[in-house]
Order: sequence, then C-alpha cells, then structure tokens
Amino acid sequence: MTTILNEVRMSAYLDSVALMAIAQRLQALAGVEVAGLMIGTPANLQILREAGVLSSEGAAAGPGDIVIALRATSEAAAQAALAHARQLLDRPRAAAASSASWQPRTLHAALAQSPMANLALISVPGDFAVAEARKALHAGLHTMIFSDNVSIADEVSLKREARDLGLLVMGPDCGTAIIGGAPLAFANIVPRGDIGIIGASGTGIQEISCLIARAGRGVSHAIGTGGRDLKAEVGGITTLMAIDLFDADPATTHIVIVSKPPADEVAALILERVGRSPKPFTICFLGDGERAIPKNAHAVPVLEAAARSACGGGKPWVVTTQLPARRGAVRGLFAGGTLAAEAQIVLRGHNFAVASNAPVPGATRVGKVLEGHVMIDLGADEYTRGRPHPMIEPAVRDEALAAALADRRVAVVLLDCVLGFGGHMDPAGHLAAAVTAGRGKDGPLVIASVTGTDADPQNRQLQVAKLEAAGIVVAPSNAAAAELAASKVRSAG
Amino acid sequence: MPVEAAIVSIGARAASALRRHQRWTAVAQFERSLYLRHGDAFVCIGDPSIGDGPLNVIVEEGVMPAFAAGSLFEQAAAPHPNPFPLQGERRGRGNCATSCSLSLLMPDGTVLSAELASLWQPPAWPDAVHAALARERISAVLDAGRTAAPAASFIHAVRPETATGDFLTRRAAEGLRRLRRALVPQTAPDFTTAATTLLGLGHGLTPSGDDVLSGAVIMLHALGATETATALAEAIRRHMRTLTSPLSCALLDAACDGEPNAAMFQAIEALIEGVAITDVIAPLATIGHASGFDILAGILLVVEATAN
Repeated sequence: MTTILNEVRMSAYLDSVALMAIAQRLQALAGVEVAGLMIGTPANLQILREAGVLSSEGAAAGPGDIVIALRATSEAAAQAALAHARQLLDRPRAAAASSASWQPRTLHAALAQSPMANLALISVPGDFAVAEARKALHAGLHTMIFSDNVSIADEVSLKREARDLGLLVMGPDCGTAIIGGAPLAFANIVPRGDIGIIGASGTGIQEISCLIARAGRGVSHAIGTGGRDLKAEVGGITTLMAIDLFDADPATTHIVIVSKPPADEVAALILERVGRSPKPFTICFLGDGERAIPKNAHAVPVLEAAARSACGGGKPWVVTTQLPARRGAVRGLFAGGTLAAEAQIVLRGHNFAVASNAPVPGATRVGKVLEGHVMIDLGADEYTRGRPHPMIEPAVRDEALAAALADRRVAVVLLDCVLGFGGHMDPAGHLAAAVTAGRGKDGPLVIASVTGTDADPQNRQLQVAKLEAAGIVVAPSNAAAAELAASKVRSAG
Repeated sequence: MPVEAAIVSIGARAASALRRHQRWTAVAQFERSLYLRHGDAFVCIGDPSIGDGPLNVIVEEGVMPAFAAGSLFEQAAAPHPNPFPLQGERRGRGNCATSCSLSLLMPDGTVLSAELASLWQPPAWPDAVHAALARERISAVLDAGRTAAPAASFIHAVRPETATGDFLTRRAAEGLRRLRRALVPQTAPDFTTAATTLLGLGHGLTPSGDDVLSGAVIMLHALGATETATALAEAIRRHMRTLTSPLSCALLDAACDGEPNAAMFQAIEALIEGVAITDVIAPLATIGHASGFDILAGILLVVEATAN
C-alpha cells in the first residue's frame, strides 16, 4: 500500500547540491516512488503537496526547516528510505562536529599540517588550476591536476617548469592515478604489484589495472599523464619522466603505456626512450597504425590485450552464451571514453562501419540521427555540460538507454559499468532498473562489462549479480563485451 | 595569549551586524564558508575564494574556521554605538582601508581580528546609458547562461516555451511570467503577485525564486530604475519573513537596498558595459550551485522588460 512519510528537520541548513543528491539516492531505493528534500517554505510545501508526497507532519514545517518527503510502495520501504535519509543528513553534521577544529583550506595550510606530503591533487575550476599547480610545484610537490579547461599553452609551460624542478605534472584533466597503492580520483582498489602503468586515459588505466588484479597480479604505480601529453605541443613530457621513474623503481618489472594515438614525432621520442630501458614494455596506442616497436616492447591494440601482455600472455577472454544472434545494429552507451574507443576498435576489427561522437581512426563522426553501429561516449562535453559525469550520476545515460532499448533497429546494446572511488555507489543497480523498465519482450540483447574489483566500495561481484539478475549478459572485460556484440550481430548476417 | 587570525575584508552589513550583537551561533558549515546567526542577522565567514559581499567576512588563506552547528562566537571588543567608523565617501569605492577594533572570539580560543581588514562596499554602478548594449545581447547571454547552468536552475524556465515539466518547473515559469509582466513599464505594477509566487520557491539555502528576485531588484538599481526597484523591494520585504528562510531574508534585504555581492556586481558591470559574455557568466558561476544562474534569470528579465 502506498505510504507517505515525512520528517521535518528544524532550523537545518544544507545546500541544494547536498539535498538534491540525497533525494536522488533515496529515489533509487527499492520501493521509493517519490523522494524530495526541500526547505519548508510555503511555496515548496505546495510543490510537495501537488506531487502527492506531503503529510500533515511535513505541512507543519517552517521556512527555516528541511522537509524529507517520501512516497513509497509500502510502509517498510518508506521507513527504510527515511532511515537512510537520516544517515545521509547526519553524516556532514557528524563530520563537522568531529572536526571542531581548524581544517586546512589551502595548500599552504595543508602542507603545514602534513609537511611530509610530496603530491598535491588539484581539483578547482580550470581558471584557477594553473596558479594552484604552480604553488604546489614551488612547494616541491608533484601535482595531479584533476581540473580540465586548462589551455595547452599553460600545460606545456607547467610541465616544462616542473621538469626543470624534477617534479611530475599529472594532467590536466587527469582523472585516474594509483600512487604507492593509494587510488587517486576515479580509481580502483587493486593489489600492489610489479606492473607500472603510464596512461593518458583514465578509464584505460582503470580497465587495465582491474584486469591485472583479476589475473592475480598487482600494480606498483599508475601514473596518469593527462589526455594531451602525447600531442606534439606537449611532447610527452610527463610520459618520458614517468618512464625514468619506473626505470629507477626496483619494484616495477614491467611497464604499460596506454594512450590515444600520439603525434608521430612524440611517438618516435617515446619509443626511442622505451628502447633504452632495461625493462619490458607493453604499448597500447588505441587505434594507432603500424609502428616500428623496440625489441623490449610489445604493441597491443586494446586494453584487455595490454593487461594480458603485462601479466605474461594468455588467451583473450571469450564469452560463450546460448543467446541467439540478432540482425541489426550495435548501440554502445559508455561512461568511459576509452572504453567507447576500445569498443570501436574491436568492431572495426570485424570490419563493422562504426560511428561515434568520439571516433577512433577508421570510424566516422556520428550524425544527428543514430544509424548503424554507434558507440557514444556519454562522458564527452556535449553530454556533461551542466550535468554530472555518467560515472558519478548514471541517470545521465537513462534517456539514451531508453531510446536504444525501444529502437527496433538495435540488436545489441553495449554498456560499461565503471566502479571505484569517485564513482556512483550502485551503477549496476541503476542500469539494471533502467534496462528492466525499458526493454520490451523482443527488446535488444544487452551486454555489459564491469570495470572494478571486489575490493572496490561497490564490490564488483555484487554489481555483476545485479546486472545478471536483470537479464544483462556480463562479459569479463570491455573488449570481450564488444567481441560478443560483434559475434552476435555478425553471425546473424 | 590567544592565537589571532586576520580578517582580510569585511562587508559593511556584516561589520555593522557584528558590532551590534555580542553573541553569535554557528548555524551552517560548508566547505568554504561558515554562517553565523544572531536573531534575524547573519554573517558569512569565508575564505577568499567566496569573494566579497555585504554579509561576508573574508579571512586570510588557511585560517577558515570549521565548527559544528550550535558553536558560540563572541564579539571580543566592546559593542560600539557607531556601526563602523569610516571616513570619507562610502559609495564608489569597493574596498576601503579602515581600522576597526572589531574582533570575534571563536570557540577554540582563536580571535578573528578585523584590525587590518578593509571594509567592502559595492562600487558605484557604471553609467546606465550603456544599458542598450546589454539589451542587444539578452538572447546570447541567456543561451550562454542556460548552457552553463545546472538543470535545477530557474534560468531554464525563462522562455515561455520551456514552461512544461514537473510541478516546480511549471511554478517557476509562472513566477517568472508574473515578474516579467510586472516589470513592463506601467503605472501600477503588481509586484506582489510575482514576489509571493517566487519567494521561497525552489531548491537551495537561498531558494531559486529568491535569487531571481535578488537579481531583478539589483539590476533595477543598476539601471537607475529606482522607483521600480523600490516597488519590487517593498513587495519582497512585505512578504519575505513568512515566505522564505531567515538566511535568505538577510540576503534579500541587502539586495532590496541595491547591494550586490562582488560577483553579481562584476557580472552586471560586464553586461552593461558590453564586454565578453563569458565575463558575465563566469562570476555568476561562482555563486552557489544554481544561485548565480537564478540571479541571471532575474537580471535578464529586467533587461528584457526595459528593452520592450
């Protein structure tokens, strides 16, 4: 029976982002039909009343109070959601109460508190990132710049300055790194080991490090370089410095480099440097053409192959399924840009004509109408302007997913599900619900991969189980998922 | 000997309020700011990144305090009958050097001192005759604002064709229509209907509807439309205590007096003086999550109505 449950927090102050984020989390819980958290002004109470979610308790709220308003399919579901809401609302208060002392708000102050720190992670609007990075470098810190919207001229200038100081600049727009076992930004919990990763691609590092972990090996460090490091203007400054660091690191015995295709002159520089290293390398320039590779290096086309190569070889993961082949198109909807690129490369390998909003060499740019095999990077700027990244908020994918599931020309929907720090806490739960709601009786086959480990906060095994319970075929890697999609469509002719 | 930390600059309203009241209670802690309350009065202690504003107390880098709600702060110096001793012309200055005995004792024993602080007041508006420049750019600025704004902002409901969606979006569009109607030059504009529809409407510590009204009333002041600004301010003040939150009332009160914060001032100045649209949008993007864009909605409604 439908239950409306309200609670009023007297004289509470929380900003809109916090309230809307909590409401979204509650909305995703089983049995919750509507969840709203608003300050109790008369205008907002009227909105909640019209939405059919206001009880007499909520109606008594004042303009300085916060109303938690829930409508659920049962009393138990409503109570569970309310308990979760209390927990989420009390968390920041508990944090503030426990830190009834000064907290560092600036780099200078943080350094005073942690004088042994040797790395600064910078996540501020792009306009301010360069100045903050410079402050960090001048304080003797390596920097990881998570911020984007930094000009390439500023990137070059920062990296040259850092190189002169013997310091790394990871970024800008560096979303993933694992340093000394510590996942930074969007990264996963993987075991420490002897494989070093240098990556101009965030989800590329995540997929490779997680596949390495699943193969029973571990990562010494994963150094993100920022997506433009191998462009001609930047000249691979961070990549070259990272090779120097791994060369000098006795704990690293094998090095993986992953990037989009580099500028030719930069590729020559990098490969020349690789050739001088005493250590073996795996080179994954996604979508790159033929290149002469040094003897101590092995070139691979996709992320999964990079992980296998780093772990000493082995056969590709193949998924066998009894599901019948389908006639139609493959529609890939990806949160990870590099995973979208990898899927394109796999499909191109089967001579599929592929279009994408972020095409790899050989693929075409997608038009306004989605026709044929289309791989969409939903993390690209055109989808995330004014909205969170789909790895943070999986609902960003809902509209495109519903359209793909309802499109009779689509035979296979290909999805990624990226776990780890920084991401949504239950992306598989959200995807499973969206697929269940949107797929009709004769709907397309849905194939997904889950980038993550069982040690991640979301637990990969649990996330896989949620997808499988919704009838989604889960492949062991993104490349394997794309291979399966290609085989199901190809064998249907 | 207590540890002392410096206030870098202080809004005139904040200075006046701090000197009037001895004891303050922390009510909300955010990453870059801490709100203190005494009755209907609020001040916001923040690090330099939040920018100057009428209620803002900006502390030096690295000393931003963090205290749980309910923590008590005390004015360490004796209350002063004169709100803030200041020499010279108050308007048209931005930050003014001043010396002040004001200081605030924090719960951990640290004293925040305004001895070396500058007093911040909004600078004088640019010459409003250049407003025509702004009118020509309404659509371009609106498009840029809508592109940059989060989905929750009322700026998406500015055009009548977007008046669909959920209850909140439809009510927002209705409020904006009523405000637009009232802003059209006329003998007896009905600001009450617009104000009572928008006050307290929407998400946020300052609900979006309040931000729209702030933007509109500030823009009227900026364009020198004092009579219209006064009429809108009267409607807001008459109803705000019952229709919106106490904190929002404090900010609306400053807006009704024509006192923007520094980011609003920069945006309106850029709009009026016809400089790059990014210079209009960028300062507003620093205000809250959606607040800056809600403010822009109010600003653009005024420019549009004046143009028509």
